[in-house]
Amino acid sequence: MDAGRKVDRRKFLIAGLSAGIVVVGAAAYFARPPEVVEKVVTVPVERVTERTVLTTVEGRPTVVTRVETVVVTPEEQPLIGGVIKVATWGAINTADPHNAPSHQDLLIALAGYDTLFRFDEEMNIVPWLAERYEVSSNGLEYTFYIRKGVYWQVIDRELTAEDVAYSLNRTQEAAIAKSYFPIWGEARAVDKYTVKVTLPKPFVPLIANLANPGSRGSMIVPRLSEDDFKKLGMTPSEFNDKGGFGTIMIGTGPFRLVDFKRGEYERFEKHKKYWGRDAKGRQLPYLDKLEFTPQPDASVRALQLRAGAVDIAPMLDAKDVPTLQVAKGIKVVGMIGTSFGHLGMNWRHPPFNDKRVRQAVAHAINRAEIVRLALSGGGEEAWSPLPSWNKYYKPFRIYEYNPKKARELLDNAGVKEIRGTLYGFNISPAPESLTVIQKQLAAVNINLEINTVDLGTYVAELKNRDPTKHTITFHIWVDKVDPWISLGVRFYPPGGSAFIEGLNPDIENTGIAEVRDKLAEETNEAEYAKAVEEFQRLWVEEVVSVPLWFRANYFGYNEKVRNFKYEPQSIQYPWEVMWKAA
Amino acid sequence: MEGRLTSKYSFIYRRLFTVFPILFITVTVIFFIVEIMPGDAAEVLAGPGANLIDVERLREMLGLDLPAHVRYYNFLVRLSTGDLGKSLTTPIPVSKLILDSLPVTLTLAFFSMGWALIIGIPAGIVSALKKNTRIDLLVSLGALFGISTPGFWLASILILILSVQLKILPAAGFVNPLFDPINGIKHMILPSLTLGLILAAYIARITRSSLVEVMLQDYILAARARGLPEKIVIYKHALKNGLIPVVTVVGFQFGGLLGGSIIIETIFSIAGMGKLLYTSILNRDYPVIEGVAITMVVVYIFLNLLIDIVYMYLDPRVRYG
Amino acid sequence: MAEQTLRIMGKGGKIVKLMKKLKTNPKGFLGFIILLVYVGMALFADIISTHDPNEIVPEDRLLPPSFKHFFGTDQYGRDIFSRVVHGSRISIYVGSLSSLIALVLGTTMGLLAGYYRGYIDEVISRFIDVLLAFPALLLAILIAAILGPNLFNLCVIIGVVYMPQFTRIVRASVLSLREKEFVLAARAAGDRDFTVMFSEILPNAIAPLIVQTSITFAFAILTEASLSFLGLGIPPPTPAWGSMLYDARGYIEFAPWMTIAPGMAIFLAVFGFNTFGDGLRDILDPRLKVD
Repeated sequence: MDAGRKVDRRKFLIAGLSAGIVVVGAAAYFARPPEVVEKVVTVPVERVTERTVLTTVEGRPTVVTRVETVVVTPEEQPLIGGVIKVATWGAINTADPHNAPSHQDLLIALAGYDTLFRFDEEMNIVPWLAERYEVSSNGLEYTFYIRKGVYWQVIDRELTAEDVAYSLNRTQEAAIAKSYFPIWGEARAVDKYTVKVTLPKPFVPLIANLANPGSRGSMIVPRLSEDDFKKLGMTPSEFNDKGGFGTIMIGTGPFRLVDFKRGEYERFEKHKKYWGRDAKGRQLPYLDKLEFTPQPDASVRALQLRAGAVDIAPMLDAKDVPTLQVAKGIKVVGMIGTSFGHLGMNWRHPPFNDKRVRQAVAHAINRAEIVRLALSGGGEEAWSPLPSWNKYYKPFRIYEYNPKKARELLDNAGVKEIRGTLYGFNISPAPESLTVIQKQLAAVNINLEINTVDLGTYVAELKNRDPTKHTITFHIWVDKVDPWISLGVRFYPPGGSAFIEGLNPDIENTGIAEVRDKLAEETNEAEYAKAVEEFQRLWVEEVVSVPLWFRANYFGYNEKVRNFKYEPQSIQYPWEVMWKAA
Repeated sequence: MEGRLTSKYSFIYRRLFTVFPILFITVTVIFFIVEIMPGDAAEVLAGPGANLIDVERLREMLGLDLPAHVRYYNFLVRLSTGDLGKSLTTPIPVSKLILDSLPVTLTLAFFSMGWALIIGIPAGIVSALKKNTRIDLLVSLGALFGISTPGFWLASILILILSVQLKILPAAGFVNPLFDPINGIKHMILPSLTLGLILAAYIARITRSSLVEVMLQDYILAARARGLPEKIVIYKHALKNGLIPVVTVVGFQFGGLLGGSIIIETIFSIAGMGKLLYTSILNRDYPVIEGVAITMVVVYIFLNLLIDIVYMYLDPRVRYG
Repeated sequence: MAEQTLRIMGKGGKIVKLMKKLKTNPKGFLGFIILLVYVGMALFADIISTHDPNEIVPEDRLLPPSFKHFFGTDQYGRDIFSRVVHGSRISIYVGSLSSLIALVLGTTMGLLAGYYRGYIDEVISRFIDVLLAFPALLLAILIAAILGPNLFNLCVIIGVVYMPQFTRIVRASVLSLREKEFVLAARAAGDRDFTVMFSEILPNAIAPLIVQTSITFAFAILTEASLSFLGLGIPPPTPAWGSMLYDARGYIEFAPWMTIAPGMAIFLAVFGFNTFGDGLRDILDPRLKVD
């Protein structure tokens, strides 16, 4: 029999544990982390020599070709073919761009669909599927002239005005898309390449909406005829059973969706009859394939980029950026994005109906500290609900960080201490921001308990605004480019917004409602700018909604990727001109 | 002989009979639990900044504005035809979502169980046979470590060492090994190892204790007394009976794995059933929640039955009267 | 009456014997020591901590371990050592309350099921089966979504999730004992069912129950950590080990101490309870089946 040796068990156990603890303790003495990024990193973008822009001259829309001096770079021959892999921040929910619930759905959709117009880096409108447009003097009738020679994927026929009209009208049936096109009459195809849109009232943001990739409804889907269904090999009801546009993507864009497995990948292949050509007249896109893999964890996206598993990783965390900046073969660029964090106070929870109390809260907030701690430096302080790159942006530094002033105001209002809840959802950077805010408010004797819930519960409870539940709410919304879309829609009647103050009747007393209406109807550019400025001021100064920060978006990409361009919403990329060097 | 046969079959029939009431109760409970959750799919889909009118319209489109008992009735009718419905966030049928996620979960389950058995059973056997020696101590300590380690922590450490520092394994993602064996296996190693190591710890412990108990039994002593070589004593007699409780534990662990391990699936970005259920709960996607929950319960019930049957055949001493 | 007194005294004697035996069993002893350390940490957290666990000091963020900060600081500049020490309070609280709930609920159901058999047994057993059919974490998430994540709810959730084991143990025990002589005698003597259940049957099931409680304590700590890791646990800024691991996720590469400290804390606590449970099992009945 095997005898083995009996060992003093107790000694062994203790020795083993101690050894383990010592080893772990030693491992914990790592080097300091590299300096966390304190300012936003931007990289100059290669500019085009000549571009076409739609602008207004004396109030009338005109096509203008601009010639500019460029940053001289040696011309590289694009490599035709190849595949680029992208790590996205979430799994696709649907391929239907009009019904897309989430941001990443739009990112994927934009590889396969086109919009009528596009924004360039300077937020100018450039022609895309529409070559130019006209608008009647009363602002009620628009005419769009559609580009010729654009071919649909899969059904293999030319884009016509019928398709465009159908697609535009479809926005009225999709609940999410409709909120971007709330004022709408009808779109009609006048001839093969001309579409007329009639509106009941002027709607100034219409063109911006059609250019904005973030607006559901800006992407053009086909009107499937009997012939089209025959080519697809299914009846209309079969098409619907399979999920319709939700699972089957038929677009005019540079790539077509060939395969997708929810949560695993979305695979695209080049659209051989894509309408785009490069400056030398070559057929675009350059790439053969495009592959998206969802990876919700920002740090893992960064890891995958470093490991070479993906070529592009958008929406990176500021804290991962320093490591990526020093990594070989990786480039990181960034800009202030559209994610906007702010505080809303519950007017129904006394004493927040007293403006002085709200002002006190505004004075108690130290934005710099929040950006540093909660965003790891990746963001800018917000003094307006619009980001600094928006051309209508005006900072309103009315309530600067001043805890003493805050305490004074509270004393004047006769308030010694306030207790309640600080409410938000549990996705980063909300809990982090709340942690810092709680401390800052406690310094002026406003003692709030943090209550973070999952998004579903958050949205549901926002509507109830139970005074004991939500004293102050931390909210993040994603701005769009046009101020009306960013600001006005949140207060748009009759339902208003689920956002905490929008539904409060007292808010009308601040006069913000009239300004909001102007944003939708004002056709005069100068008046419009004034209205937007007034809206921002009222919001910051009278309502005393506390803008906190705009988050920076960081994009990491493999240096072999060429022609990588990015925009504040992180969803639109020039896939048709991107290529990958050997 | 006959009496025993009848009782075996009648036992199986009786168990099958109770399955349906369990299913019905479970399905009802699931439906109403989901009802109670604050927030609904329309609100989540429309997002926090949405116009109330739009949310209402969305709710109508999704059929969420009907009263609860009407929806419950529709739900039962749907189920009886085997239709699990369509997801609310996308128009994809729930059954397709589940079937898509099933191979992922199964692959992870198989690999994890593989590690667990390969590491756990021999470890348990060795430590039982060499009871109270240094090896036994090492294995027992290791097993104790294994069951005390939080899975996500282990995952993070493994990723840090193997993926980031050494760069030999991918940090996330799933590739089907049937289609792309090398890549598939590479992607499976870290997640299945994380799960497998912890499961192995449990298996090692129960193998050890069960085997130790068996070795003390009379018939083992008798076999030895008869002069049988030790190897035969162990492999033919001790192990056969000693592994019975292990089978039970392994069966339940496998059932648990089939349920999908959310944390591992989240960390490694694997689209299995656990992740599907978790995401659908967050999105308040009722048909998906219900569909996946029902699938899990069904799988579990039948697995349970299977284990009982296997047990029944393995251990003749068990009575099922 | 006299009999009952004797039995109680006998129980007291049992406890004394238990303590003596514990000293000789190294595993159990080690576990016991670890437990004492943690309980001590929880009770004297304020005294042991070097800093205020919630104090945000932006200038000191992400410092590695040093003499000033034993375990370093986190991304807000908070001292991790103090947070780990205070975190033990949450863990002990969660562990105790959850185990208690699981114990009380599970034992009651097990007693009812095993004693009365028949219809009640069927219903309870099926309910337990349904509970077991769900992976524990998913059940916890579902309930957390309904009840909301505060500390008490969390304990209720975890208690319910781990209740089935207790039910099974007690039920099996009752089933095997109900036909025994002393039970039959008590019933014949006219003792009410309740009395029989508690004074005759239950004491004999105490051994596996204690062991299971210890194991459940360990699981409760792990489950709270898992829930916090998914963002469904204890809201900030309360220091709970699971939440700390959640925070540390993004910093694992350049501030690994943020992960290692709370991870080790969880690990050692769970290890301690499991070891203690093992030791107890060895003492109370060396031939007890596992699980």
